[in-house]
Amino acid sequence: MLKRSRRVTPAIIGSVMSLSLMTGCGEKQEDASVVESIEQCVAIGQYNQVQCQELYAKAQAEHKDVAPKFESKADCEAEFGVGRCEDENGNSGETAPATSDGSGHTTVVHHHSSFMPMMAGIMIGQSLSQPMYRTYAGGSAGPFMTNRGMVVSSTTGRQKISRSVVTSRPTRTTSTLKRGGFGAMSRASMSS
Amino acid sequence: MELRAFEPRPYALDLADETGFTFHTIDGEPYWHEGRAYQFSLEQVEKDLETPTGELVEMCYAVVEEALQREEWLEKLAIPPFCRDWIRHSWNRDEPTLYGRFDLAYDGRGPAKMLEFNADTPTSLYESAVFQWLWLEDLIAKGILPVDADQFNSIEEKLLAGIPELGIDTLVHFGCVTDSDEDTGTVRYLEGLFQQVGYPTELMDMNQIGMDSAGRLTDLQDRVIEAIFKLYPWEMMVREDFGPQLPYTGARWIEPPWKMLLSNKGILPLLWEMYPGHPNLLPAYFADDPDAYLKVGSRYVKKPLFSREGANITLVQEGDVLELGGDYGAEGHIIQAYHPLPVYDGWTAVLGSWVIRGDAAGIGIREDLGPITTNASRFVPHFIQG
Repeated sequence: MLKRSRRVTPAIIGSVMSLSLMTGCGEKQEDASVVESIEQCVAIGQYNQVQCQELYAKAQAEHKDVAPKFESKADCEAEFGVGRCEDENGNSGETAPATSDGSGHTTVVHHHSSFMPMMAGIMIGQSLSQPMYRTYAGGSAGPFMTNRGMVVSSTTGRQKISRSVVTSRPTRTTSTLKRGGFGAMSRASMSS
Repeated sequence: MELRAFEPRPYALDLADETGFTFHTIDGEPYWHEGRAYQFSLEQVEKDLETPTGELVEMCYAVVEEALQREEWLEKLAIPPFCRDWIRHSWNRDEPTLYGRFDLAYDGRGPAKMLEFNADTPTSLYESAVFQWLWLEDLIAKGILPVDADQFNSIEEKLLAGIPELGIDTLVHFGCVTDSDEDTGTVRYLEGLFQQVGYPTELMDMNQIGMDSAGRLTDLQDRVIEAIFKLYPWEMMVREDFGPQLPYTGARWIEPPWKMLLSNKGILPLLWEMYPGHPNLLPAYFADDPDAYLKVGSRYVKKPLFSREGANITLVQEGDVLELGGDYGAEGHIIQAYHPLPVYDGWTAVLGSWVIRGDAAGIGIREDLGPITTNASRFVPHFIQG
């Protein structure tokens, strides 16, 4: 038996060779589904009602964390369509809702960036589900996209989708308070 | 293990530039050197290197298990108290390791001796996994080496098989000191392998990492860092500004926090205490052990707990002292019995034995003109024949 690899990847990312290899070398694709409802999920025939409800609930829970955020409802609707945006509590009304802080006093909480598009559907691949979003322009819907704006598909149903999208949970975004907390002790090279 | 002379391929450095192995020459000195190569027998590889490397891994894991239950050992290893429960948690949850490299003293006769374990931030990965492989295939294709020549090098195969086992299902960030071509090249190579497996990736400098109000780490696009490969020493991270927050970031780290114990020279005396007389270990003691110098004898090497590229290493032979400068050593030292590295035609050779996902995966050999291997060393390929 050989003691060495059968093949290796010569090109380090960003090198001359990796750039020349990139053209014509498509990304790996994988089977996945895009659905707009639990009913559509069941109709694909791969998951039962309970599984579909779970997949939907998982994506819905993730949606609040990962959806693109806007400071105003108008900004959100300009991209995702009128009546297709909501605040962090799932309200699509005009003003932020009153909430209780638990002390008996009622306060209006103003979020820094609190509006986000509604979930347009979910993508299911290898038992991972994640929220999908669609932009609206001139009265017509754009393709299904991930929370980071990566186009996934223009249709619902089972199909081939880029593997890196299917197998990864959507990234969450936040506000960075500070940077530079690592690296201060660095010398020219950190390796050994 | 024999030294063989070869004619360097005239296009080798152009090929290196094209593949992204731009650090083939460092500070004007050749780092990749194919004017010579080491020949091993299959028996030497399997019996003297592969099997002992697996054993060393097991012994190292036993030391981690023991150390995490003994506060005084963690104290000796200079592990800050705020990290200890976090490291225990990381170990108890079996947070997976991707890679590491033992440095061994071996000359083809007698057992290989472990000099240290680069468990946290090993480099020379690309040249070990890929460039020496390309060299071998080229020489076989040209008929310079026979078709049955082989190499102890399944590093990339094991990396590609091992990356999916890490259980990551998010964007993977890569952090390093981007000023260093060598570090960036190493990380870029790994990033490419993660992409091949199907992961979206993002490379950043360590000092670009941010933190949000919840103490989570962020990238330059304000995305939460959920999984990150870092080529940057744990012992520095825990002592920097974000250090105290490390147990609470929620991020998955490669290498995992428990590797902090193993990249520490303090494991050498701990290994010797648990496995005294093991054929692949050298006697080693903490320098503050009152009997240390008596026990180790008149020829020894003094190493800081944390040190890289040979910095602050002192070699003592019957009163003769050779000392390399550097900024390490504040956290204490160990002393290890001196085992001379083999010298081949004027160059001292040290053997790096790669561990991927806990398995012995291959070797890379570095040569230096002095008895201590530094960052001015050069990489020389090897092959198996006979």
